[in-house]
Amino acid sequence: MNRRRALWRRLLVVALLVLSLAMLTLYFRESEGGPVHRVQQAGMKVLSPLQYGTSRIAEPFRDAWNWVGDLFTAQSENARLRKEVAKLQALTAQQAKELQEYSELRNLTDVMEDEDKVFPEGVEFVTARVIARSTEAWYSTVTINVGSSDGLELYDPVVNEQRGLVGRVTSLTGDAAKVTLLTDQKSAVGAEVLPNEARGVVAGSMTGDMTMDLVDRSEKIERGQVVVTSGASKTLTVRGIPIGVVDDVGDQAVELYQSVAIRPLVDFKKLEWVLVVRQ
Amino acid sequence: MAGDEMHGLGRVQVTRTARPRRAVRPAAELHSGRDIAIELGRLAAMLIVTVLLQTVLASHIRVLGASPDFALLAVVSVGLLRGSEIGALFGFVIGVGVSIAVFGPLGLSSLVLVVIGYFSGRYAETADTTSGWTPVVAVLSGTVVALLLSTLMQFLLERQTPIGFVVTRVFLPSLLLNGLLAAPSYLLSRLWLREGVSVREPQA
Repeated sequence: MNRRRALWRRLLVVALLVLSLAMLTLYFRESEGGPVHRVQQAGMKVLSPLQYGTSRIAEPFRDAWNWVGDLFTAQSENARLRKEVAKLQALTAQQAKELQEYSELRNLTDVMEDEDKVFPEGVEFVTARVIARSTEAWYSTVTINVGSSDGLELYDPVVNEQRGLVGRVTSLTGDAAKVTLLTDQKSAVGAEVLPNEARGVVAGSMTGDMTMDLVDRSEKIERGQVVVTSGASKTLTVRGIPIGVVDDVGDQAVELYQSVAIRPLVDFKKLEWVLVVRQ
Repeated sequence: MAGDEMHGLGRVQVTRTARPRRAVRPAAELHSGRDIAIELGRLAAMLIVTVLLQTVLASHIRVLGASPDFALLAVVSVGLLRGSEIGALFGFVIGVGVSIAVFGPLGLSSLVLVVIGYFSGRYAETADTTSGWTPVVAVLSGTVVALLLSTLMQFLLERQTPIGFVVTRVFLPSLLLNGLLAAPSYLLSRLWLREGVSVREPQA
């Protein structure tokens, strides 16, 4: 009896492991409309209303937790910001000397503030609530409560209230969508540094840092310059969506391209509401 | 059986004099259809709550950059309370649920959680688990195994796995958080599942 039980137990575990591996293999081999993806989309139809409800219920607790967290980090944040302000003041003083650069920066501010200049005419926004997010360090994704029935399509860009680029829609069901954040290590967005229009690709990483790679070495890039989408991609055609500001410029003489560290405009840890841009 | 009682005699005596333990329901009790339906209902409710906690709340509770793994905590608890078979099955279903809820690769979480559920159950079936440290030990071991398996899988899926970052920002904070939550989550699970059926295998 014990031997049969042990055999059954082992068979069960092996079967479950084989089933998991089979699902995983199919998931990566099939297209978005394959059977495993369809199972996932059907499951999401059931789960997304529950997630939305839970998200609403948990909101006050989440805010309280964030408030406590902010309290703990306020002191170190204050010291860091003071240093940053001092550095930025020096930088601003230097920039103010050059009239040309000053006017270009002013134009940039106009572009960032005036949404009609950032987004072409006819572009529509769909407001969405973040209802879930991946907790694994390898993935930076969130789930939002709007989907194809709201007019969303794959690779639609997603921005926050300040129109900073959050990420892109990479999976869809009728009522929900997965947004792969800019900080995800598989994310890559065509971008340019303003005002000199130096182009490159902004990529995320597991550590959460964002870098702009493949920037021509001849381009002179400085800290504080604004990085926006270049629109030079089949899947992201909107040009000028703000991504972040240049934080550091890699200076490796042996490399063909420059690598630029970007400080994102979006606080990815506190995403609650986002806007999906229908291209 | 006698040897088994002798083995944990000191501890059992101390426990009984300090606080009488609730009687463990014999496994046979679960054989009636109604009991099985109630048991399945409880497990299903636990599953849904855990998936929602894991996908909606866990990402907001960040300590040193890591979030608690409610799915792992639940699977370990069920494994300890209900044995290896139910532990493995629960791990599989919860893994599928979490993957669906965050549009993750289907099969990845279940692969890891089946292993965790099975070995937690085997631990309860073969070792003396009367100590209060049992859930902590099981959760810490489960966290290490889960993180090693996840890292390996992500490496095979060609995702970046910078060792320094993984150790300092993922392994250590996750161990700390999950270790702290191990006992409360086990106690809650035990209350919800109405104590435990005896999963300990009779000694030869």
